[in-house]
Parts: sequence; structure tokens; C-alpha cells
Amino acid sequence: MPDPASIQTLRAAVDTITPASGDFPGAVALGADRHVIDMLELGLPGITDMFAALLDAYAGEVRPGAAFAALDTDDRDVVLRAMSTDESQDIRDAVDALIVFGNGATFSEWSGYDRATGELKAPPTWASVGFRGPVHGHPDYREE
Amino acid sequence: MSRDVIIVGAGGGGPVVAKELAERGVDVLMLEAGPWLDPDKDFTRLEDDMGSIVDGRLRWGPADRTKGPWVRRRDGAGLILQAAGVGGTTLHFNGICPRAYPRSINEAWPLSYADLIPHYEQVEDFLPVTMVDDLATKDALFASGCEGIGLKRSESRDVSDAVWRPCHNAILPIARMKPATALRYPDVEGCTMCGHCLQGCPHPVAAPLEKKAKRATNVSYVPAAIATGRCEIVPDAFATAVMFEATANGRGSRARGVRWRDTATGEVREEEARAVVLAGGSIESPRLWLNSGLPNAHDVVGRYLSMHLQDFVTGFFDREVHPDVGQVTMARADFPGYGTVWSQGFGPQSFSIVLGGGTGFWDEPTNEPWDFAGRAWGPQALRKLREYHRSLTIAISTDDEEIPSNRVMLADDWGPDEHGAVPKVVYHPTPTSVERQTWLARKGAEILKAAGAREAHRTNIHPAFFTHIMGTMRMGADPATSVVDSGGEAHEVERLFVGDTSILPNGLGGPNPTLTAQAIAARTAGEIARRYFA
Repeated sequence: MPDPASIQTLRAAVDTITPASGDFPGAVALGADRHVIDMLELGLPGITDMFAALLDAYAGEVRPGAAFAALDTDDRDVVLRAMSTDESQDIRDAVDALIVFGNGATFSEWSGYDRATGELKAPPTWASVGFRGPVHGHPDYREE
Repeated sequence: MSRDVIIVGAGGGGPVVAKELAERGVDVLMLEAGPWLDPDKDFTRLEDDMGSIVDGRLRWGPADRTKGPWVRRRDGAGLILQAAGVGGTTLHFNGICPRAYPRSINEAWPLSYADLIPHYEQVEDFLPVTMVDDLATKDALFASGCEGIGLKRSESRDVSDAVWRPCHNAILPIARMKPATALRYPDVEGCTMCGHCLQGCPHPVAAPLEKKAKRATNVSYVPAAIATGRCEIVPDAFATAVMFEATANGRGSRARGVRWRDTATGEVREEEARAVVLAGGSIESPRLWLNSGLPNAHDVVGRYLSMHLQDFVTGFFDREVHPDVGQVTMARADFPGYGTVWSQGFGPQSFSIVLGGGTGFWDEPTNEPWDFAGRAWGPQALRKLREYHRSLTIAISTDDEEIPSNRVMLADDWGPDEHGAVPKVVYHPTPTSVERQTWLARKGAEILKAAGAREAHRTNIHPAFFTHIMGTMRMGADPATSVVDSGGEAHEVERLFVGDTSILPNGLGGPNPTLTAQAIAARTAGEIARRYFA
């Protein structure tokens, strides 16, 4: 189980990638931060704490002594950009993980789907991007 | 117990070998590392549930999704999309089945393109592979862009010049659907244009396997192999060793069986066979070879990896495009010498990753036909993500150069898992491959602009995104640069064959590899029968 502080740090990172905006609920409101952590831990147990430490280390480069979660949005952006261009593929991959799993949870069925029962409630993001959800077919597949 | 043939892997190629051998009277055991899913019960059509690389039903991992995926180490490789399960990557492929570009075969293969045609036709007739007879909105838009930059339409399967084409897909013809039609078999037969090809195809609902629209091997070659009564399939069976012995004259080796592990129980089993076929894909086949300690005198096993150096360019329009409607790809443009591009439909999850990932940042200047590239997050990205329904993405598949340093090897920086040393995928594109990729990205952006896109984004993927994984066990005449001969049998090990995309000597010029790998698999089955079961 990741450290609570690490969970807070990852939540801040996910919120920076996909924030709430207008009628858009934002990734954290949908629980996408939990999904990111679940996927990280399933792939490599213990990595969440390492990831959070990495974010905090980069944050310290931007504002000495500051943790990532304490940074404002602009400074978080600086951190994520720096990690995205790091010469280490593992560090670049960390930002990819935020995007793949954070966006993955936000824009897929994940927040509205119960795998155990198969019950699906369309997540609010589908309507906001114009996705109609799973269908059995599209008789009207072509618009001129 | 001894079998005639054991096939390792029930993905795109293994079931072709199985069906062709079983129909010739050969007794076949086919092992599959992943589960055997039921399209009607298990294919939920949901992007994350089916496609998550960590815990999706089609992931590269064991059937128990509370356990982690199987490890791949990477050097220069980004996301690696593989599917475990009966059907393999054909479960989540687009269904696109083009032939290779003739020049890429004639210049580099031990066979000619003309030699391949009967085997192409054999697979195309069986699946079947047919040209789509209409286009969805997104594909019609793509076609208009192609015509806008001067590409001529072609309906040929054999392409040597730049053209655009309605796709030849392993998908049944579009169903006749009226608004009041119940979208269930037998009221509809054929493709219902649901747009869920990438999540496995359960449609039409209630159709028997032979009537499911997308002709993945789980609904085509596998049922046909089983129908012979001479093919047994064992899912959740991860092969850990090819057993081999010295030949009678002591001057070589020959395969004599396979050892595998039940991924649910951990039980280890083994069986003898008169011949073994490796069909676990271009990562697992060399891994199994190397973990088995099979001879590798020229250190060529695992080398010459190619993967089409893919990328995406997305256009935004002032009209509805519906990227979620229709077969995910129904039109393509071919540029022999560079590669190929096609319209790529998908759901909003994939779209958000294509738009958010990549290299570089949206606010960096570009002097290219695309207006922005690479990564974005925050409110700026959200505004574009909300334009999903008015977006058209073009996928790029590059004629990447195959070089020996691009390879699959056993990881030197990670411990073994329950199936032995884990594979490490090493891929660094050549400058020529990158130039071709960039050329294709420019063409993609030009097509989008010609179709009316007001702006375009290039994902600019780096490191490489792996879907078309080829080479590593390539066919050739020279044992110093190839693993198997033109009949698919290993130079160094008798009775050991390859039946997956790893056998492809190069990237075919850029076209999607499944059909060509299946054509070669059908040919290899004939060679196995001729050499050992005549």
C-alpha cells in the first residue's frame, strides 16, 4: 500500500494533467488518481512511492524544499515538462503513465463500470467529447 | 504422450498452421499462454476493460486479472501492444489485411512475390478478406483528402505506386441494416459498423463464430482446426522450453517436444512431438529459443526486429466526423518506398492518449504541415479532447529498416519471472527510418488539410510504439543473417519451425503484417507436411 503522502502527490499530478474545467468534472473527481496508482502497483508493486519521490525531487529543483503537491499549476507544469524531456526513459515513462492511466480512466468507461456486475453508467466525459458509448451497430454510418 | 506437432501460440499464425496440418491428417497440440475468451460473454466492447495494457482482458498477462502483466524490459521501445489469448493480437487488430509491397519481397526475401500469391489467395479466400464496399464518414473524409493531394483510387491488392484504396479487410461485408432492423443475428449478417474492432468483435450479437464479423483467428482458423478432430488447444499454457536432442549423426540438433507451465495452477507439463512450431510472436519466440538453450551459432536469434515506426496525425474539422463509427479502418493510402497511412477510428480513451502523449509540447513552434505536436495537458488539452467527435486520426506505418542491433534479447537488467528470463526489446530507428516516418507524417497532415481540417496535431511518438512486431526469427538462405530457411525450418535445429510474424525478413514495405504472416504460415504448414508427414 503506498504511503498516504505519495497518494496525495500522485493525485496532484493527475489533477494537473486533466483538471476540472467548466462542466468537465476533472480526472480526480472521477477517481482517476486511484486508477493510476492501482495500475502502477499492479505492474510494479512499490513504484508509487518511488514515483512520488521523483516528483518531489523535481519539485525541489523548481522551488527548493517544496513538495510537488504544494506547487502551483505553473510550477507543476515545469516539473512535468522537465521529466518529459529527461534523458532517462524510465522518467519519461513516468509522465506517460500519468497520461495513459489518468486519461485512460477519465475518458474510458472506467469510472462508470462495475466489472463484477457488468453494470455500466455512462461517465460524464463521454457526453462532453461526443462519444455515444458501446453500441451493437451503426445503420447510419455515413454522413455526407 | 507424443504428438505429431506442437504449436506454441494460438495467435495470428499458429492457428493457420494448425488448421492446415490437421486437415492433412496431422495430430496437433496448440498451446496458448493466455485465456480462451468467449466473444459473446467476454467481449464487453469497453476500451479499458478490454484494452488496458495492465489489466484488460486482452492484455499480455495471465487470465487472472488481479495478477500483474508479464514483464518486458525496454530499451528504446515505448508501449508494446500484445494480446494474450486464443486469437492473439488478431483479437484487437483492425482487421486490415493488405498484401506486402512486391518490391520489399523481391529485394529481400528468399521467395518472390509471385511465389507468395497463391498463399495470399488461400488465406484471403478462407477468412475471407474482401474490399469494403462503402466507407464510413471518417473514411470518406480521408479518401477526399487523398484525392485532394492527387492520389488516384485503386482497388488492386497488388500495389507498387502511390494510391489510395478502400481497405481489404478480414471483416465480413457490411450488413444490410435499416433503422428498424434488430442488430442481432440472423436479422443481420455481416459487419454492423459498430466501431469496436479494437476491443474484440462480438458482433452481430448471437451470431455463431463463423458469422462473427471480424475474422480474428479465434472465430476462423481455430474453429476450423478443431472441426478436423485432430487439433487440441490448451489455453493458459505458457511454454518455457523447447526440448531438443542431438541428431542421429551427432552433427546437429532436433526438436523433440515442449515444456509448459499452467498459468493458473503453476503445474509444469511436457509432451514429445515429431515437430515443433514457434508461433508466440516476435518477442516470445526468440525468448523461448534463448531460454531453451537452443543453438545460436551466429547470434542471430532475436535480431533484425522491425515494427513500422508508427505515429499518428490528427485533424480537427468543423463538421461531425464520428471516429467511433464504422470498421476502425476502411481506407488507406500507400506510398511504396516510405510506407502506408490509414484512417484510424477509436474511442475517446485511445484518442486522449494519442493527443496527450508523444514528444515535444503543443506550444512549441513548428514549421511543418501539422500545427502542433507532442504532449499537452491542462485546460488547453481538454479543449481539444472535447473535439473528439470532430476529429480524424491518421495512423502512420513506416517502411522501417531492419538492422541487427534492433533485437529481442534476454534481459540483463531484470530477474527472471515464473517463465524464465524475461525479454528485453531493443529498438532504435535508423535515420532513414525516421526520415520516412517524418515524410509520411507530412503526407498525413496534407491529407487532413486537403480534407478540410482546420488544424492538425502530430503525436510524434518517441520512443517507438509497438504494434506490428516483426523479424527476430527471420527467414533467409544465409544462417549468418537468418534463423529459418524458406520452408520455415530452423537452420540449426531440425523439426523446429516458425509460424508467426517473427519469420518476416523485413517490414514488408510498411503494410500491416498479419495477412503476410498468415500466408507464410500456410506455406510453412505445407512444408512441415511435405518434409515430415508425407
